[in-house]
Amino acid sequence: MEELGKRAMTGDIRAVSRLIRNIEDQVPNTHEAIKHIFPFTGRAHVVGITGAPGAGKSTLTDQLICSIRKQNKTVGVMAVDPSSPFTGGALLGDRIRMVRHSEDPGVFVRSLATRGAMGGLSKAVGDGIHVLDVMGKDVIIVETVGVGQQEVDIINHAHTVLVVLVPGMGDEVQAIKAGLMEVADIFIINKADREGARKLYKETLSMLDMGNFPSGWRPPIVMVESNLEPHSFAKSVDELWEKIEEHYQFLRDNDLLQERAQLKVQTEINDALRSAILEPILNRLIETGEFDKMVQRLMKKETDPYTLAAEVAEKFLVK
Amino acid sequence: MSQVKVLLAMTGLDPNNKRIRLLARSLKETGGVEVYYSGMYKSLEENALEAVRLQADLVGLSIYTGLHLTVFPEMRQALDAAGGKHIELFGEGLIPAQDARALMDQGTVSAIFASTVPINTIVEWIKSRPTS
Repeated sequence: MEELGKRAMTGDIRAVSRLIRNIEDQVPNTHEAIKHIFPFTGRAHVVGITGAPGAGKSTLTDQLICSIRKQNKTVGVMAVDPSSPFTGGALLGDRIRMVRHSEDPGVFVRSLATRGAMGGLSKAVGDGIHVLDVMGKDVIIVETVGVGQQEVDIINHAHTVLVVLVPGMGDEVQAIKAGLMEVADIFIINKADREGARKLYKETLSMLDMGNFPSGWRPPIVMVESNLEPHSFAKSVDELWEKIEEHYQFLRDNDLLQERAQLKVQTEINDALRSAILEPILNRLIETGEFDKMVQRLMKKETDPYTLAAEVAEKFLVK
Repeated sequence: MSQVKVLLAMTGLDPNNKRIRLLARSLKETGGVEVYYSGMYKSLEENALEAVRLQADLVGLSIYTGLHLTVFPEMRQALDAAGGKHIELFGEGLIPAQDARALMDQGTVSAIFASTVPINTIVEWIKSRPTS
């Protein structure tokens, strides 16, 4: 496993791919590879892109890759698609919209399924970012599922968060409800040639006017018009990329990068504790049938979840 | 928690994608499978690279153009060249039984499903494949 980590660091595509798949599948010992690469992480600029389904996240990402490649920077993309909550199956097709870069060695695009992780992000995303980082990608774009109200997790992983809004979907209200407004570093009004774009712009603007920005960064609003006009589309995405870099520079100049990095390590230790402590206990309970018994007792109202949790804690936790 | 991972692919100018989309959807709904559909008009090399990036267990190539005897061996070569020797290849499409047999005998593909085979047969076969 350590070997795999070493090979991934040389940029070996197969090693990187295998490592990400092992992370997804939670293959035992994958941690060994992560242990090996962890000290070398934290170099790339991580950009999160979120917004409602159909807002145009993949199309924007595709064009952003072009803008970034023009500066000879390399790009890693992780596009997260939902797994079905009912069957666990997943149908992923982001690559249909990100076709232009498939043979460019400076670009690595990978789709991930959520596999039941909440927050719109695959559990594998955090470690996946590390892998793309150490393989030497300058910019890493994480595209979230776009299921609306659980998208804010991205803030824990990205330096710059883009929130994509589109006119006529009524999603300004949705976005406020979902807390998306608080996580945005840059707003994008996509498909801005559509009716309602000015209205959406004004609404977003007045919402921003009500907010306060302790860090000193007021999220700009970038209008992007339809990709049916390739030229102007490319131009506005170039401008978007400039804004993204501006934000990154702002974080660096004001020592805020550390703050974002801290959010990420906090999330990571949280997840690691969960999988080291909670998951083994849960698995034990399920294997021994105790979990089912607890469910039955609850169904009969013999006890309550808090008493049960306290019993389990008593049994497993050494004080 | 290893799931079978399958890339469903098309190539060239073949526009007959109804059945492969149905297969993709069925696989999703049956569960336990992660299915990637890379869309129409892709080159074999693009599909092979994608399969390696995903570390897919299986690639399913759909061919309705009659070019299966040429294209399947080329797909196999593209996969091997991209570093995907371990990735299994299967076919779907308008493919006569004797051609299917020939391709399987050559070892080019693990299975070929003619367009008359019920979708569920393909789904069950995919679910039975080992994961790496």
